[in-house]
Amino acid sequence: MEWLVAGAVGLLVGAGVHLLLKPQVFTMVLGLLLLSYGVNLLVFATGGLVVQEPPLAPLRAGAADALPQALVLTAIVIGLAVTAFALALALWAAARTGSTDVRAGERDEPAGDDRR
Amino acid sequence: MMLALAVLLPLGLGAFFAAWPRPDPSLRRGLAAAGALWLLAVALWLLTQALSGAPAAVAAGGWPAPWGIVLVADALAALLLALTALLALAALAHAAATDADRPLRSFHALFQCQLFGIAGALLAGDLFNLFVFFEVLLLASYGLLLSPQPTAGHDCPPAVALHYVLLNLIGSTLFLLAVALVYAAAGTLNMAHLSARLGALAGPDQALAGAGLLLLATVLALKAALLPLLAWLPGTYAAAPAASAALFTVLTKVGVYGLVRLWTLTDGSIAASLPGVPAGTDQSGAAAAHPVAALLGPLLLAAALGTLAAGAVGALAASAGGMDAPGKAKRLLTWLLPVSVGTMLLGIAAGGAAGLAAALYYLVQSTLVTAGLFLLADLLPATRPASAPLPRPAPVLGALFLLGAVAIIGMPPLSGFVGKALVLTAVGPAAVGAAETASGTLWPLLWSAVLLASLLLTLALARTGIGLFWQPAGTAPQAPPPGTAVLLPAAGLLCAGPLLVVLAGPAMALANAVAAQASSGRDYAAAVAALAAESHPAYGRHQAAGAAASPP
Repeated sequence: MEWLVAGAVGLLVGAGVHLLLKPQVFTMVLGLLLLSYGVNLLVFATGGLVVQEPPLAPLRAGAADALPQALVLTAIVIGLAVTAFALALALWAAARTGSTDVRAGERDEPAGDDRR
Repeated sequence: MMLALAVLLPLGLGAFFAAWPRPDPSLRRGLAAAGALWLLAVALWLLTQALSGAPAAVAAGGWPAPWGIVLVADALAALLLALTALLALAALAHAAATDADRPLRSFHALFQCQLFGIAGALLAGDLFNLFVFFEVLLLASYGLLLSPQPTAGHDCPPAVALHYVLLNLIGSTLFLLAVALVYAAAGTLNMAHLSARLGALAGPDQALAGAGLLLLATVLALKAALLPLLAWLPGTYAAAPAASAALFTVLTKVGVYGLVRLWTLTDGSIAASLPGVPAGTDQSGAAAAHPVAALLGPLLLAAALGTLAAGAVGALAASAGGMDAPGKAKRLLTWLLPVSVGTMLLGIAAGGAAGLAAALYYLVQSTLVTAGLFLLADLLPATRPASAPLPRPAPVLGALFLLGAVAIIGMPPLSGFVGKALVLTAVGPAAVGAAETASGTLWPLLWSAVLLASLLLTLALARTGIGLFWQPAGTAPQAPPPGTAVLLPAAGLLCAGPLLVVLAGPAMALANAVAAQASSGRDYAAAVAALAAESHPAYGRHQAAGAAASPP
């Protein structure tokens, strides 16, 4: 069980980081999504991985800690919201610059600014 | 209860503005200003409360301290909250006077959410809520950054917005990763409780917590824009509307605040043994420090020196370039933020409690003056496509720019000089004998860094000032001087320069008291411990009956 979850976290984070290193904005959002899935799984796993136990820690020794489950719910909601925002922003930027490259539109300033 | 209101009021106002985006504009402005004034009053009340030795603390929803949402207002948090409220007041007044709050329908809703996020991040008593409030703060800042700016002639460039948003989203994910690692190792997220437990961890748990804490320091360094992670700042702040940029100047300081909090957490000084929960330390209150605490000092010192150098060189490079007047001024002003963050962090990292006090004085004055300069830059005449000669700015703007520049460089009559002198004294040879300073033989390096950065800033600001204001009469029409209402917010913030010199004695006494409380941490720990005892009396009995069912 531990190995399975640890492997999944590693795979998700690895794939996420790989995608984040690409300059395409939608690829980066996808990478961010995978990274946050991996991290959410890790948060979930910090409560301990046990099966067939009631979800309340003080009732029986060895049960999973319920707090990380509350934390991960919050984190999932936040992750959903910021991913939606990032996608909307990416669409806006792509419409403005006509390109999905994150470096496009750096010079979208009035004429005369060509120093940077 | 006052403490909860500091967070709930901006949230309620923000929700009201979001649900009802088009009430009468003067009503909207009046409500927003009343909210900021109220926040200022609450912050000052919390500050006096904290300085009396009993910081206000509240457990939201009545859940016991190690698990429930805890808000704690020690003097450091309250001081920064008061600073935020002052900036918000000036930014709102500027936005109302220049009609900058009209183009974006949800400006006031986003602004209140921004205040909600900042207040929450300052008052949060546990790491997870620090993450949540940082997320709120960042989401609101994305919206404010992207708001349309019809008077400037251009909006935020897409690449700048994408870089800022994506970088901060990665930062937030790493923040969550760090929180998970710390929780996995220590089994708690409450800062006071963590402080007690971290030092007692051993073996793999200690290493895991160390990795989490260093990752947390990295993420906070991204928020504070320390050297390897500051490239996002200049473009973003230069592209933001002036009123938002003025409020954003406090965001980097929230990052610095987080680093200070992290440091007092890892070295065990805010350790509180919470009842009913097995703490990793004895009841004497002196918790052991986690090994990361010893690493943080040198790391922060190196980052501070690098940030200072990068900021000074950046300012010198930014004063060239042929942009329109407000754009050029703002591009230069963004580089003042790394310089001030570097200077204050130098005092914090190398000066002990005296350094923290000096850094706090410097923080308040540099934030107010930089924000004032951002508002001032917005009043410079912008290029219009049709008009060939750029009108000369009114003389009053030049005088105010000089006032702000002298204060921020740190030249004698104004507050920057006092602030920098205090920081230099705190890390200087006189303080080396004191056991708590970490500067040792490094002080000549630190002094030269601060003084050289001041020299470079003088050059940069003088060059830009001459380019903007010192034009021969008759070459271009004189722009009409801005009205009093437009000028007042910027002038008010810039008055912090002379005012903090006149009141340097009381201000320094306040800074000393705040720094003493922040670095001893005893009052903070006591407030949290008292909260845990009172918030859930039944909990202790239940836990005692349930034997040692500790979290993993």
